[in-house]
Amino acid sequence: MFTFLSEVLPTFLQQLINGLTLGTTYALIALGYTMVYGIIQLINFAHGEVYMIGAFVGLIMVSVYEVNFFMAMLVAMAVCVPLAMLIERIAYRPLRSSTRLAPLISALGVSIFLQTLMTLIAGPNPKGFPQVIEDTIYIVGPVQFSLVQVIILVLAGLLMVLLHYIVKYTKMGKAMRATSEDYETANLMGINVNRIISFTFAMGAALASAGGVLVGMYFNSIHPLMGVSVGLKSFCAAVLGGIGSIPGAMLGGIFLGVAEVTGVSVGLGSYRDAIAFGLLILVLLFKPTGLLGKPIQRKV
Amino acid sequence: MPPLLKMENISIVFGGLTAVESISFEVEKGRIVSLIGPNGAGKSTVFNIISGIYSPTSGSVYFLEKDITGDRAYKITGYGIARTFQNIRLFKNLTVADNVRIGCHSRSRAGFMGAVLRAGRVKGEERGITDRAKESLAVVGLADKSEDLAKNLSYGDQRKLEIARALASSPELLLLDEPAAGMNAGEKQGLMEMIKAISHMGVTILLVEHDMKFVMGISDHIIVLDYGQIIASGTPEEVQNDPVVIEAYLGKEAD
Amino acid sequence: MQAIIDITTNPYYIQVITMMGVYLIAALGLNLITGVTGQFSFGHAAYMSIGAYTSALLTKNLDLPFLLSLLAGGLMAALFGVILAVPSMRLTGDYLGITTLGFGEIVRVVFINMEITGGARGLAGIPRSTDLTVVFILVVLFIWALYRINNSRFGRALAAIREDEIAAESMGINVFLYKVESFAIGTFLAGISGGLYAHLLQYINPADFGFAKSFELLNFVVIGGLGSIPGTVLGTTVLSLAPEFLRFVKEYRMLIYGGLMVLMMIFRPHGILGGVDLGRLLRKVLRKKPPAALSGGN
Ligand SMILES: Nc1ncnc2c1ncn2[C@@H]1O[C@H](COP(=O)(O)OP(=O)(O)O)[C@@H](O)[C@H]1O
Ligand SMILES: [Mg+2]
Repeated sequence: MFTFLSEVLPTFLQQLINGLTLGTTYALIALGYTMVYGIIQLINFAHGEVYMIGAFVGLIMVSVYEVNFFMAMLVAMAVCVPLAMLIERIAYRPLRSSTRLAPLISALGVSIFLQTLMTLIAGPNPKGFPQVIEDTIYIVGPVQFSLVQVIILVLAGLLMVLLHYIVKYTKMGKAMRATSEDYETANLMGINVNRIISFTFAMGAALASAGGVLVGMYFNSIHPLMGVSVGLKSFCAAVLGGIGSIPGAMLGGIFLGVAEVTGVSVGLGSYRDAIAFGLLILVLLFKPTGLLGKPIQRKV
Repeated sequence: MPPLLKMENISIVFGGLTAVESISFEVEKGRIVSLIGPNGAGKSTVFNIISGIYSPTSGSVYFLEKDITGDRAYKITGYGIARTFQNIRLFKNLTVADNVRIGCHSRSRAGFMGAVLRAGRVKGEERGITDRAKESLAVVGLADKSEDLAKNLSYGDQRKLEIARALASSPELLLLDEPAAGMNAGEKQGLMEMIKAISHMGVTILLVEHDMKFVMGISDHIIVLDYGQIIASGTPEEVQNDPVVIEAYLGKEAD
Repeated sequence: MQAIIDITTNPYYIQVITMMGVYLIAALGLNLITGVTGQFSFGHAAYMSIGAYTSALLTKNLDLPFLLSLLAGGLMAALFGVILAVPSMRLTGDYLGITTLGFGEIVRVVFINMEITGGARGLAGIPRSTDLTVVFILVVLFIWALYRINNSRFGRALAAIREDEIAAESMGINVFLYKVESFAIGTFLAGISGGLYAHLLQYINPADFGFAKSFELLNFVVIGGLGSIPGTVLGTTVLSLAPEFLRFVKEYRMLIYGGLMVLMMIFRPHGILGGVDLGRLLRKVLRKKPPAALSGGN
């Protein structure tokens, strides 16, 4: 009992905080996947690259223009939002009524294109992200956390609350939910589906680029291929939570972050990249549409 | 003689909605039996239960006295029950001939090894499948379109192809879900003759159809469904004059 | 003429062409799963890696004859194909895709962590037994077998599943069983391909078989034309040679490659040969033109 209180519990709490931080960044990116999937049933493989570009824009802003990180984040959003809308316009919209795999391949093409582009611009090696926030460590009882972690949690939390508000109460958000629920009917009811889809990509990109800057700040290092593995894991998080479900993406992201950190701390470090997928497969086998996903109706 | 098909107290619930409630009926061999009722009455659901696509929440289905409740759809086809779909479900990008050849699946055996090695037995079986497909297409009058892609057929022809595909499995019982939907008067007349011809070949037919003239003209026996329950059954004359049936139909039209 | 001789005797080109054949075998397997049966599989490279490690370890450590080791690699890949397929078959579409992708990543991480495979350092010193002749013979053999499959009761059942699972089941097809068989055959081919790969390069590393490779294989199949064997051959040829031809653009190579993928899908979303039945086309042409006219068509 004593060791539990003095060792196990604090370690657990510490891991929880670290996992939560990682998980919220997954969640920020997962939201973009889930919203897009909810509306056009596309796994937007280029979403991870939007996140990566957000991180690079943030880096340029803080290191070249020496703005504060909050401004850097806003600029990253301002660049990534139109970029994502452009990607949708060029690479996905013409394929909307095509076979399921065509937009997927197109998305992969965009993804390869953006990775190569950024490698050409920035070089293949990781770039250090300057320490924009002073590294203050808070110690509360047995656990410690950094100012950066607090900022990530608070900002990501705020962004998610904002998203929730937009989706729930604004006209655009309502139209978005209607389109997600039933594309055909929304179209018939006079909702401008193209605009809604653009809007969805824009919101996803805003969150992902913010995530990119936050992650850069947290891990102090970014590189042109950083979107690949984080993108895939965030997509896992979205599916884990129930694809198409916004609370699902948040839950899935946090669940994944905590699981990953916990996994590493119990000695599964070398299996780190497999944890997300292992969990995902397990969950899908028992709940084929994810934790918060609606069951599929098989109507004949 | 025992009935070909026997439904006993069948109910099915979809998340709170009881789509079919405690229905029982029998279909005797050689008959043409129709299932009618307003939209949403549960007719297609009954077909889905018989053909094994849905498992009933309670009750039993007997085919030739064998309990087939809850058996998987592919097995049920093997027992000798074939069906068509209300919203056409052809193999769109395959040819008409291949659609019907696939219909022969349950009456043939060659698997993966057979496909690769193509021994004499397999070749013979393949010839049999092609012959059987040709026969089925001839019954519905699509023999000359066998190399067309299914998706390129007219609506009426697609419905006929569904019938040919079902026939290819040499069924004892054929379930037809609104086969005349979307057809013009002339096509309907042709379809009626076709169904009679199939019946004469010894195939028992259970039919869902909205066109009353069609149903009255072809059925030996009619079962009327409303809100998932059987509200009447009998010969065409009996059903036509049943006040409950008239009420159910008129009441619906008044909405 | 001299150019042809140069190309056919230049060891570098022979290597490139042999490798193309190796990938073609894996792509043909994926085409069966995704193109013919309609089941998404985003982890095909993982089955290549299972075949590669199995056969490489067998020839390297146990001196098993090369062809036997290939067979063992194929069977091992198929075994894992079935192990994944059995529980996953109730998932459809993208869910199946992401599960297979996840499985592929897990396999890669497991290979990195295994002792016997050399972990992240990779496995070196594999005998060089793959040559163009073996690959060519196997490619011809597999294409022949796949053609037979496509034109059989078995192949029609797979196509029926792709077109409409519920209708397929209602035609008496045991959809579950056929999907598993399709995975078994497709992953078997991936395993064979992996074995050939290992004995061609003599060195394998888990990083060779990540999801980038899986998507590259998917690319071959989709860009060639889903479900079409000539399409898969064409897609694999064009795309695995494309980087060679794009060498002159140097570092812009992958940029152009990515851009071409997008353009390709926009202008031919069904792939180069998607929806084209060469057999039927040929018959039509032959019927229309008198045979004499054919020779002048060059
Ligand atoms: N898979 C299902 N899930 C939920 N409800 C269903 C399902 N299948 C049918 N229903 C419902 O059952 C009722 C009967 O439908 P159906 O059998 O198609 O009617 P009919 O064929 O007589 O027009 C309808 O209310 C329909 O919405
Ligand atoms: Mg109906």
